[in-house]
Amino acid sequence: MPVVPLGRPRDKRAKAVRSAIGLLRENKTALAGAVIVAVFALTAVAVYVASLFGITLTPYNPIQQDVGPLLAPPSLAHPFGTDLLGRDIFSRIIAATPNDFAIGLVVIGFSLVVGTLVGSYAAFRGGLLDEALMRVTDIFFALPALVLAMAIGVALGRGIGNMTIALMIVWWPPYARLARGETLKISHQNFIDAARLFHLSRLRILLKHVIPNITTTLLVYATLDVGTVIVVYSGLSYLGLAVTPPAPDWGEMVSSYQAYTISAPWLPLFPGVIIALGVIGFSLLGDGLRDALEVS
Amino acid sequence: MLTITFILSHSIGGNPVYAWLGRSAGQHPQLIAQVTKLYHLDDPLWVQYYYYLVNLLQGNLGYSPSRGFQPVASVIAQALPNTLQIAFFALVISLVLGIVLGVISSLYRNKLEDKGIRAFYLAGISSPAFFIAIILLIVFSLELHLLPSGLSADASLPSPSTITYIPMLDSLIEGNFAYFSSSLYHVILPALALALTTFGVVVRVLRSSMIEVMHANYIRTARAKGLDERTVFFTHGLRNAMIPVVTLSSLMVTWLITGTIFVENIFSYPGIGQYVFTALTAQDYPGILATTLVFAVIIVLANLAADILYVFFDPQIRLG
Repeated sequence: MPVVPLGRPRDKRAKAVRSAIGLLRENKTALAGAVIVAVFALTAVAVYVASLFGITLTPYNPIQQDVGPLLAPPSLAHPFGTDLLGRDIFSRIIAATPNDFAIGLVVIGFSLVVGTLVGSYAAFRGGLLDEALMRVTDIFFALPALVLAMAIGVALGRGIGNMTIALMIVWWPPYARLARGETLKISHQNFIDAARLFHLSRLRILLKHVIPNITTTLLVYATLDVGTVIVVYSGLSYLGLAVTPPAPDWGEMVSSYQAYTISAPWLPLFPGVIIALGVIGFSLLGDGLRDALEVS
Repeated sequence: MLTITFILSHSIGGNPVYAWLGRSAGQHPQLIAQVTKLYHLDDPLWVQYYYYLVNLLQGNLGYSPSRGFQPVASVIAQALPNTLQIAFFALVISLVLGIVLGVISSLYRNKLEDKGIRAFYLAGISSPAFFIAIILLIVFSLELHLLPSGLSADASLPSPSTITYIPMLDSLIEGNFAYFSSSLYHVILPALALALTTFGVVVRVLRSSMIEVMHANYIRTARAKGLDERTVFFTHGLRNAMIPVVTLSSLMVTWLITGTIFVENIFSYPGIGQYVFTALTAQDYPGILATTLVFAVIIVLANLAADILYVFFDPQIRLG
């Protein structure tokens, strides 16, 4: 019988990093996804950090008017053209990256943490609490996320912060469902029974033994889901619920430039392409992770 | 559901009377008092909720400030059939496109055809509906002049008399083919825009279920019986692989209905989606409430329809 060395946690982590790199080397589409996500993430972080120091990284000031000719088509000076007020579209799109990207991550991060804790605790406890929590999540499944977020968003009032809260409220229930299902799957396995025999507290079993074993599935789902948040948020932004002009935001740009579709089609097109590209990045990366980790 | 939408829509900040009557209303205190009293705006929320429930049971959804105080029920009665038309065609296009491409994908697994289809649907599901709608508008209507860019039918044509309340069906029954073909022309682009955002999920699900089904034992049995490959593939394979697609269809109705908010706005199509948009911007509570309610009802009905369709596709499920 081969001796299986018991890896220390640090070895495990190194192994996970190695397998992630291996995945990217083998799977070209996952690599493409990772590159797109990395470009968006770097842009977002760079713009945000620079703004903290009062530096504008964009070629032009995104909200300053008349930095170029009005309604100019794409050119070397203005790669994505300019709008009716002579603002540079490229600069506006770059300036909006931190918002759109951060909202995707914040909403997913929140849902992942809250959903995992709520779902796995409900499954582990069982009984009335489980039943009650699942009925609560049922309500969220009766309406599409966008409509619910829209209703909550309208109630809270316009603004990026309020939209983020609205999205967080509607986004965690599917994660709770998923975490519950996964917990039920593993809760009758031997190592959980063994932990029970050691009289470990319920919370300890949950945190040390259950949750580490369900995170892979949830993380893969979350990666695929970041793109969905970005699309739904861009919808809210398109409906005028997120930012107040002149602040730039992808969805809002599409809706305010929509009137110029005939005279200057590049205006609504470029922000739309950027949204789609970001979403594709996360989908490709998520698909690759799913295939590699064999999560169904 | 009712309670939640009611509380939400009534917690919007600001005095709605100003949004309804315009800023200049401040000069007419009696007018404000009158409107406030009429809509019970100064009563506590639970009293307003009581009035709302009583009215709802009587079929009265309230009056819509953003539509010149027309009864909400009649605004919805006019708008809903148009939205159903878009959603119906979008569902059909999405299923046809999804099933055809899904079958091709499963036949050419991991070959060039499969990869091409994957790139196509990935671009579709990753794009917001409003983005695809604008692309279609530019290509088919502004550049190629093939299809109209707005409205539900030619405004010059007389509208058909109301029989089923759905304009396209009515015009067909009446034999008003000019109106029918005009509304068909007008529905194609918005429906296609919506379908392109959803068909990819059908491809994805059908491809994997088809691959799984074709490895099942009963397929081997069917082949062993000497059935020709075509019969095996379509009647034994595809029919069973369709079960997850049926589940998906009810979900798709949810996405399509949500998408109409954007698509109808871009193509100025007079449906519920456009109403949602105007109601949102005008703090039109009764409008927001009623449209949310209509969305919820459509989704419940779609789930019911999917449950009924299972019986047709899955021989293991039988009624009674």
